[in-house]
Amino acid sequence: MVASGADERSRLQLEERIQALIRDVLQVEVPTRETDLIATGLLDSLGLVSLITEIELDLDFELPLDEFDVDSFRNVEQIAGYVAGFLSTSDEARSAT
Amino acid sequence: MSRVRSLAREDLPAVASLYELVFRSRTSDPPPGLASYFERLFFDHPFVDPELPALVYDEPGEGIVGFIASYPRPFVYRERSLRMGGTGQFVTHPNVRSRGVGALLLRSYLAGAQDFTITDGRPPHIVRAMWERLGGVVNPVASIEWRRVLVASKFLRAAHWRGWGGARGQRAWTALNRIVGRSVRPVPPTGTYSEPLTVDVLLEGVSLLREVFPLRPNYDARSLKWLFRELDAVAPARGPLLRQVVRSPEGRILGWYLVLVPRGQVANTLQLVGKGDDVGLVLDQLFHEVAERGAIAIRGGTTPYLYPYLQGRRCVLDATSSWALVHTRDPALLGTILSGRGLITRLDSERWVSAHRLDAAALAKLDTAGTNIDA
Repeated sequence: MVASGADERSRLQLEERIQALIRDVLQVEVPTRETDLIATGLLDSLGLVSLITEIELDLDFELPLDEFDVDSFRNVEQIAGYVAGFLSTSDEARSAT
Repeated sequence: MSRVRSLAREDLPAVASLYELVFRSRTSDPPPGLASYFERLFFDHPFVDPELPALVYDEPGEGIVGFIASYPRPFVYRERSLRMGGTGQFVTHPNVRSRGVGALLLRSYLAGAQDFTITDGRPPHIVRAMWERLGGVVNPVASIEWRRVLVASKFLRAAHWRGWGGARGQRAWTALNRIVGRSVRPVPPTGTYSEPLTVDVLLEGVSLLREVFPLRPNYDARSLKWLFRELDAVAPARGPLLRQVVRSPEGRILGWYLVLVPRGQVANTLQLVGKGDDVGLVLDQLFHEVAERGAIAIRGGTTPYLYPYLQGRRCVLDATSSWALVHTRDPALLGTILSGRGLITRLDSERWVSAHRLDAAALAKLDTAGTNIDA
């Protein structure tokens, strides 16, 4: 339960961080964490490139291209989940070496 | 799963259809020869590099909705072999412009196996911005196009000035050319001569300039022969390829050029090379010969080594019509390119490609000519 609570807080913090990056980089205020950024036109090609670059710089990692799926970047919640999953995998790999 | 993957031959009809829609007739019905032309550009030539393929975005349920071309070239940098990726046609279907298709294609291409990537066409602002977000930079001098009017009256008439048509207009244009034309018509050069540029002389010339250009193309005879043949094949649409080496009276190589010269139109310089003050002599020879062959003007890409010699030769510099962009992870290499010590010309970028200029008849002729690399 404690681990789950910590994970939940960590996920919420990541979502806030993503939302702040979108605000800073794209100059848009996302209405909710479930708002579809692509369908609503808030995120175009330039915005997507900018956001990916900023996330990578902010969190100091590189998103793998082979597995990248644009559907993972539709809303703040999905982006945070995708990034969290990758960060978790990277941490495990580092711990194993 | 990523929807970006390498271009396969069976994708070519869909790519041709997408390119026709966005860049040519605005319909999805390309002429029969366009897919074949793309096949020779992306698969059947000696420069092809399986690690630097063109890419497509394949959307489940919709098919190919995006494409980015790849024109690989081998280069050498301080005697180390490098690979250049030249991007060219970069197309996304209008219906998917909001879905980040272009961003993902470009990001994938720039992350490829090449040591550096260039483009020098007319990308819209958003494409230039994407390049810069992904770590690319504008090559400012190379983004400038130079132009030299050769026959003033014909050039002005071709520029569609109103009210100057008909017999009265013809007399006016002729009078104008007598007044203005003499001053813009290139003066025949003295002390130099030119002769046809062969593959062997071009290879020799590039080798002689290794101190001037630490970064330069690593051509071989087979590849150059293929490239010359391809350019000769599009002569009906783009004008004959004039390739000349310029020599001193003693026979020393001063430089060379390759230029497409459509009679009565604007000639298009693909490569002009020289060393130091020899560049001016090569330019003078070029202007004279192209004018003799009936071009009304000539244009080309500016480089730092060329820039000083365009001054005082009645050239106009246009900084509004194209962008030259570079991407590399090597700061020293980037410095060499931006300082002009990289021999990167339109002969090795997307500029020699004719996909947007060939009509159905021209494509059909190319199709029947075949793709035998070693013909």
